[in-house]
Amino acid sequence: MIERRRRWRRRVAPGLATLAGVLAAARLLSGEALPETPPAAAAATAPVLFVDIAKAAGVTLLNRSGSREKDTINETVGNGVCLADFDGDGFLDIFLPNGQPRGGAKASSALYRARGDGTFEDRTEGSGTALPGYWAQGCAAADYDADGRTDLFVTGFGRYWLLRQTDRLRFGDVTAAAGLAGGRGWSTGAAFADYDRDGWIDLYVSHYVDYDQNSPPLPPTGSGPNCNYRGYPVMCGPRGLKPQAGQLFRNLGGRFRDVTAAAGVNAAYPGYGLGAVWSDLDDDGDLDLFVASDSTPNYLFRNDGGRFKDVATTSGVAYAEDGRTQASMGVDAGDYDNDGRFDLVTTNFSHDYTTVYHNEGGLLFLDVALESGVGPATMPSLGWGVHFLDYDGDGRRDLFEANGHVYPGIDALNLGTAWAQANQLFRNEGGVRFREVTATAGPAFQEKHSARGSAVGDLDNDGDPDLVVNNMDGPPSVLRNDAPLHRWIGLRLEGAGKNRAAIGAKVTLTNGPLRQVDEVRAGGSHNSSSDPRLLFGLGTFSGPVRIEIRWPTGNKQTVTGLTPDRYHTLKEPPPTR
Amino acid sequence: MFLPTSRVSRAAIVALGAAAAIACSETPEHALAEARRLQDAGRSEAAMKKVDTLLEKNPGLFEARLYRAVLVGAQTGREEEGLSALRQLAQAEPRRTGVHRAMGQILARTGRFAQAVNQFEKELAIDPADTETLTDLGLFYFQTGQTDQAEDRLRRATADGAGNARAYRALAEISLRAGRIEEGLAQQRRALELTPDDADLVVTHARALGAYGHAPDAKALLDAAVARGLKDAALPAEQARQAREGLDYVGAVAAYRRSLDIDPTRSATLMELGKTLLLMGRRDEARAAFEAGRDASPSDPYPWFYLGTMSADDGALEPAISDLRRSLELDPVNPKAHYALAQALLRSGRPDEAQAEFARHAESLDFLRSNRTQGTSTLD
Repeated sequence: MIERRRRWRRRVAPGLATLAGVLAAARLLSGEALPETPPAAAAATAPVLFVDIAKAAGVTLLNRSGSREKDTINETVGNGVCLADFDGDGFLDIFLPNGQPRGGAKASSALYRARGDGTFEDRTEGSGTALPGYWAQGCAAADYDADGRTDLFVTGFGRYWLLRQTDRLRFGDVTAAAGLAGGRGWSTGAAFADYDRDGWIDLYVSHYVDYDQNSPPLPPTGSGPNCNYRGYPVMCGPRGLKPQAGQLFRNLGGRFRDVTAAAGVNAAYPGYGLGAVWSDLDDDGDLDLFVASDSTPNYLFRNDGGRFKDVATTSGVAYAEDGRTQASMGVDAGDYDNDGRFDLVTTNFSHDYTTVYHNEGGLLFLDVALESGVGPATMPSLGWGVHFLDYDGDGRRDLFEANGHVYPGIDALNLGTAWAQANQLFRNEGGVRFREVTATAGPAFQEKHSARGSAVGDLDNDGDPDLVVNNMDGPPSVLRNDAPLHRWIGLRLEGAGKNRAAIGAKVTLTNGPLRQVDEVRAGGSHNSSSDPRLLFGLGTFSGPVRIEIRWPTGNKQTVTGLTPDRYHTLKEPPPTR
Repeated sequence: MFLPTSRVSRAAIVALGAAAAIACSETPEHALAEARRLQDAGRSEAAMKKVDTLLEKNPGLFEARLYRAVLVGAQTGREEEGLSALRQLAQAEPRRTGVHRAMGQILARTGRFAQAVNQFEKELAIDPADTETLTDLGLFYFQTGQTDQAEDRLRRATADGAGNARAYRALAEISLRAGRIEEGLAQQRRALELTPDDADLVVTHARALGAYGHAPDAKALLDAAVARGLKDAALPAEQARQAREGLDYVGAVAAYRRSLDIDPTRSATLMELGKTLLLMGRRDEARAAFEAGRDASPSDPYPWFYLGTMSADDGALEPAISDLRRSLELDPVNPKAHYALAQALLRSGRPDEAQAEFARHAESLDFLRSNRTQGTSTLD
């Protein structure tokens, strides 16, 4: 712990930061890879520990989501988290979308700026991100207009918010100007990506139930056949309520056009959409779209040159292994077995398992939840946020999920599940099995909340992934990862065109026998958006590291000689004429 | 089964014992009771022989002639013979109870429902308070969807606290289906008071308690039944099911194994044990349970389904396809099997066949959704 704090202070020393900036500028001009942070000493054999530092760090927004009783379904889905370096100082800031209380004062969302010393300052006021009175759900952070500043898209009830960062940590509402105004029902997950490879990042927005806050009201608890759970009256839905179709918006240079139908993202029947993630699942160079759909078949929209086709059923990801629909809340894509293909994970209801879909190639997936060990361990959990993350830096993606039930009265039923649940952490053992390590993952994993969205990112730039979790009706959790450090390499990619953050770039890192892949993303998990940088654990391998980048433009680049244990900015070479 | 064919009014049997004077060591009452026991044990031929022996000695004994007619009518293909004998009895002694009821039972079993009702009503005309006939008639109305008539007859059968567990049980089902949950549970409790050792009823009530928000009571009921020595494989199987509902897989496996100690070939228990072990990741043990379930009940589609999916998981695609096809032969509308088969076909390079199975999966899902009934049925 002491060593960690020392490292943190060392990194934020002003002199070093300035020197690093000068060196970076010089090397950028030469096209070399840039080390951004000084090497960190690897901890020896410290136990794996996650510590919830939210309160101490000043991240204290009280989440509100209707009544405590959760009489209607709109009160149960909850909020996500966005992590992005909004002010460009090298540290991840935190945006927390918020819901609204039933009656009473209006609640606001919040923006926390990282000071770089492990604490955050509340910069909501005056930032334009408070959105008082707006019942938000999710968010995605990306520079949609290619002006160099990270913007913010917020989903929720009734409308979207596109917040353009006009000045440092000051945002303006450009929803209407960007073509995204109007009644939008109930939007949830959102994800940016350049699906048509025109350079501009496009936007997919999941929608859940066809619901207007103003009329008519949602059916109350216990009022119909879909309003009971094992004999107890509960809030109704989503079954029995009309689903609302997700929307795809093409970015035409800062303005968006709804191309849902034109691009083929109008599925045969609408589902209750929640998490959405863009990933090149068939490794053909363009980004496919997976949408987790609650109680309805998931979507996998295969990108065929800018036109999409839903191939979820034949790909094996529409249902669980046995053909059942699942609750499908959150989603992540990641290559947990280092075979070069992105696998998928979705979180589900209690008494059902978190589903791990192994990518077999050829856009065929197998549900390996039970064999992997994730299935049995997640049966009591109702999962939301989810991440493939290499928490211990051994070069294999582990698994995190944020948990919490939707029925506050579930505790009384003796069903082996509860309203407040511990989040879960799984260690990847050989790319085949995940072993649950929740019990030994530190005090943060002993806390119980009714968690919802989560985002992963290296908040302290020490080379391991930390987590931020939005807890329903409570303050958030900031889970600082104090795991013993292996060697690592962090990458910040910078695209040559309008897609400055290189969203959709695929990186393959080779280090000895280890070969890892990852993608730059802006949107996923549950209602959330994670660190756009890529972080690779190198384990105990000490050989040379080779980086191959497939940029969203299709350009390919190979980089070698990167020094471990630091972040590097890699710029896409300008197009040759 | 609609009605037990061996039931004859106990009052009649008592009367038989008092009326008959038989010079042998076994009274007619005992002989008839033994015949009933044999019939209940599935030994129809022995039961018939017993009654024939009784009739040889007492050819005019009404109760023996009635029960013989019942036994004959219970045999497939001999229903008309039984009915004919009963008609003769009705003509000979039109005010005697039990004859019209027995005719009603045979007629109901052979699908002649209007005639069955007519006979039951004739029986009630002789004895309006005959709770057994009221119950039979109520059950008949219930099973043919005539709920109002069913409830009327069953309430008459239980009027003034009359003791008839079957009637209370059926009334409970009607109440539960109508959403009168507490009333239905109370009626089940009353049935249990009358037949506390009816393991099937214990399980039924426990399931209803669990389904309608009284899980701790359900557990207590089962535990008490087992504790007082009720030995029926269904009881620990239900304990296991409830443990699994509460995500206590270890407890569930232990209870399933207790059920199998009582009945090692109980296929439903083997299936559920296999499913639980599969959820625990204990695949080898799960496979063994499914194989035992398949061997115990080869016409059950589900062991084939699970064995097929496990083979598919293991990459043994041809055995998987074979098992899944067998499962679908036995249950053609199981969407899970269609889906698993489609996946296995796709992986084995047969995309056209896979597409057909995916289509059947979707059709099966739609079919099940459109036929889904709400609420919990505890009688059927």
